[in-house]
Amino acid sequence: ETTLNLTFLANQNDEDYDGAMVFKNYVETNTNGSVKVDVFAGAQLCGSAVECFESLKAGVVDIYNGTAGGAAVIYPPIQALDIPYLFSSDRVVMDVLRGPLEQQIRERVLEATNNEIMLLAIGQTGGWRGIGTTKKQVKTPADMAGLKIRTIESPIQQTLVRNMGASPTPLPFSEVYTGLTTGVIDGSLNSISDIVSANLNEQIKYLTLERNAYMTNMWYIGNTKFQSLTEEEKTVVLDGAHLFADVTFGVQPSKELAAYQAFRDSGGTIYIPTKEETAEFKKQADPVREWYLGQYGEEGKEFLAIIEDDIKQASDKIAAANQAAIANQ
Amino acid sequence: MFRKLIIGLDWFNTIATKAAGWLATVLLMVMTTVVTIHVICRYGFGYSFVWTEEVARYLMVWMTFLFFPLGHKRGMNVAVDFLVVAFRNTKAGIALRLVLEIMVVVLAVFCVKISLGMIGRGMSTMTQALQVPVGLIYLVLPLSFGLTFLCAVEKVLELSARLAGQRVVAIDEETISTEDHGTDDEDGATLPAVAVGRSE
Amino acid sequence: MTFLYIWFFAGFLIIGMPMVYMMLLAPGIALYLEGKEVFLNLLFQRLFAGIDSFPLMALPFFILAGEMMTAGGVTQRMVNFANALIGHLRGGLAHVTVCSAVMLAGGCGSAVADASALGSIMIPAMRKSGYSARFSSAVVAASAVIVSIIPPSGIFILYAFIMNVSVAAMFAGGVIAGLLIAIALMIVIAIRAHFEKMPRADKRASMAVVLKTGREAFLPLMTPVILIGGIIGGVFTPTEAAAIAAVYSMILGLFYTKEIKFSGLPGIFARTALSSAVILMLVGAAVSFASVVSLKGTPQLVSSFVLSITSDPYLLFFLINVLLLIVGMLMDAGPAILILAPILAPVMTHLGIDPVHFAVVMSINMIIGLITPPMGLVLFVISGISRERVEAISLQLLPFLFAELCVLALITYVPDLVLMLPRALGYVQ
Ligand code: NA
Ligand code: NA
Repeated sequence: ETTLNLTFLANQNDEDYDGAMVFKNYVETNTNGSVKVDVFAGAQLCGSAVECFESLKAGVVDIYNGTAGGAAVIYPPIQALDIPYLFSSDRVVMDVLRGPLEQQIRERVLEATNNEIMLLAIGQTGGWRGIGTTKKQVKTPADMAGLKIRTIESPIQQTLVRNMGASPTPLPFSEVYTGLTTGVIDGSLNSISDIVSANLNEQIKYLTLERNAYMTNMWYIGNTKFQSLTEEEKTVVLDGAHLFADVTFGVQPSKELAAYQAFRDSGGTIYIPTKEETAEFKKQADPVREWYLGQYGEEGKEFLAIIEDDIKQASDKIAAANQAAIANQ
Repeated sequence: MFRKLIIGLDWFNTIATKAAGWLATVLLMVMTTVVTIHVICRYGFGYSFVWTEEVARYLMVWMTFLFFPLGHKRGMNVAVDFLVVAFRNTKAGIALRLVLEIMVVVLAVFCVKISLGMIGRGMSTMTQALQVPVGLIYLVLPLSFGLTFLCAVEKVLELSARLAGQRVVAIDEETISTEDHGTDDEDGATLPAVAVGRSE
Repeated sequence: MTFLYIWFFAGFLIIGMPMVYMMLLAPGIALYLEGKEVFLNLLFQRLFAGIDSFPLMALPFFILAGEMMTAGGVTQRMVNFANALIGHLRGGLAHVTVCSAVMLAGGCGSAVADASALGSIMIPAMRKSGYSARFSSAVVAASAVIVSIIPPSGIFILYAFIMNVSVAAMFAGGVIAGLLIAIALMIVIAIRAHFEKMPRADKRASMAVVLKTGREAFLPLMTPVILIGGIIGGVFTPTEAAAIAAVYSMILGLFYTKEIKFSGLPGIFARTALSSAVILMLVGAAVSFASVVSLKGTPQLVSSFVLSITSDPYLLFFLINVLLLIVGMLMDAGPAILILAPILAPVMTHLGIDPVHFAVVMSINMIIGLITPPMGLVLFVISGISRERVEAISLQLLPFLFAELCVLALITYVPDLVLMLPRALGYVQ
């Protein structure tokens, strides 16, 4: 009998937990109990991306998730997924993340970690990131001038914010609420779920959904543990992980409804940029791309090309399907 | 021979722990400067760096692990020491302290072993902001626990000698003149600088 | 097997193993015996991660600020000013001690550090004026508690760190409680001074002296103003505020009071780094220990046990306060909070107690523990300075301790006393 210790940093209210429970049930049932899954929500076993991936390698943790920003600690070029305005719609992004890109990332991560960490499946955690501000509504990049915006410790976010004329301010997430209250920061790049779950909506009054990034959520397994499973068990774990990822795709948007309601109830205004304004925002991605390509050279170029190619194919496929459906009266 | 070993170890440990301590002190100075400059740049000029928080954090970690062996050498780690104090200077008391030190020796060996594994694994994990291998940051761990191990071994030898009726007190200026404060002579636990460290 | 690590912990505690090793060894040996060697990596990784925290950095910075204030002669200036103001009252120097502690509290975050600074000035002065050594020691010990309660506070930082509560909110929550304790102590002093015919200064200080000492104490007294103004005004976060406080105190010491020489700086930084290292390592070890505590499901077991006794939050709060006072007699505030807060706080918040309210009450309870015998760090420091036995000081301390416990009860059952300020500042809902 094998036990898989599954952990994530979010708490039990997060879609990660719903997905994890589905995974646990699927794996335990379909292996007739030969593989047991223990779920540890919150920072019980490890507290940061660096520490959790280290624990994964050490075998303390068996399954852990990472956003593109988090997984950058084991495979830096993965930040291509965080290049702003790369994805345009939920349907496209879901199609890409479920497609051949998965195997691409799996191989690259295995190589970067000396075969220690393997990608299981890709889901999402939090949907789209927008720009939340306390006092000033942002409709175009020009409105960002002079604002102090909280970012994670990621050069991608910093470059984007700086390029818009705002001042990027890295703060630990636990200090964001007080930072917004006192004015150390005027806003933050976050998804609606993160804003509401940390009560930031008491301070953030404007949310601009320019969709600078989609919060992908990659589930990884320690490869030594994975290889210790039988062929059948491996199949069940992989199938379970994909079910898990699909649960997060479905549950998160439905949880978001309550978050939107809470945001509006606390006096928040949501703004969707017009076509012209969206084009303005998209221009802001260029220096970030340059930074990325300069930083990760050939490998980065190749990886980004794969993603963009996948996006194009998915977009074309979906557009064609839509056309056919619309034409079919 | 025994005596020489203890004195030699004390000589080395004194120098090594102090050297590590001075490095730690410099790191605290750098840490203070980095955080202060960041506040000035951000508030005064609206400019933030990606790396200040990360650098300051790792400086603090290094400072802690570098100074830890000296803390052990000077017996600064807080304990509930009723028994040790009650049987101070009796054979039973010395034997008890000997047992405690031997456990620290074992722990230190384990810590060195585990930290070497961490360094190996950490070479393929990058820090978030600076993207340097975290394995390099873990280098301080075997250093810290290796030195703690030597300090504990020194105490084990010294206590064994005392148990055998021999008293080898290595010369160490910080550990004199606390006898009348009610702690054991070489623990120096009530020196003001030490007392600060014990709770907050 | 679930509680094997607790048995080891208790055994090591009794035989006097230093806490930092105990918190690694007890769960380590238990895991080893249970054949879960892979989790030894977890213990060690958490030790590192526990120290690797930006909010925690406020701790070394506030220790540094305290060291700078002591070396810069700030303590003496505040004592002089307080003496000019109220030295003429009966029991004047005792009142002066309390007031000096309040003034120092705004810049200094550690009762233990302050006890040695304030004690080495006030105890000799009080003895010269005819107070008994044990009474002077008791007054300094009781006052030192205030320094850790009025922000900044090292203990509050530890709690905020381990429980992920807002430090700023906790700081704001400690202000009124700290002032109440000061008032309570002064009432006890006034009563005792009246009945025990305590000494008083010959005559009231002249206005000129008040102004002169006031002017000398003015810039050091600005430390809390800069801290609080900077945090509320959005200039810096609480962690950064700590660094700024340290730098400000250093500049004062170097250029204003001129009592710090450049050649003295390395020594100050070295003392700070060493003290911080010992505490931070303890924090790291406690985080390791806490991870095994939660791995074993201990919090759930404790909370279901506690809730089987009573689910009345007020009664439970009383019981927890009593438990913590007993723990405070045996254990140091830092480790006690690091170990017990993750177990107790969820139970109380589950019953509807505000997390910040519980955080402040629990921290203050543990801070009072610093002066309760037999294990009371502040008490040890004072005893070292006054050469008076701990038992003798403790007896004199009883009325003061009683006053502090009354304040503790008050803030337990009147949550507004704690939550009013954080609410007004928008730090809690
Ligand atoms: Na204070
Ligand atoms: Na106590």
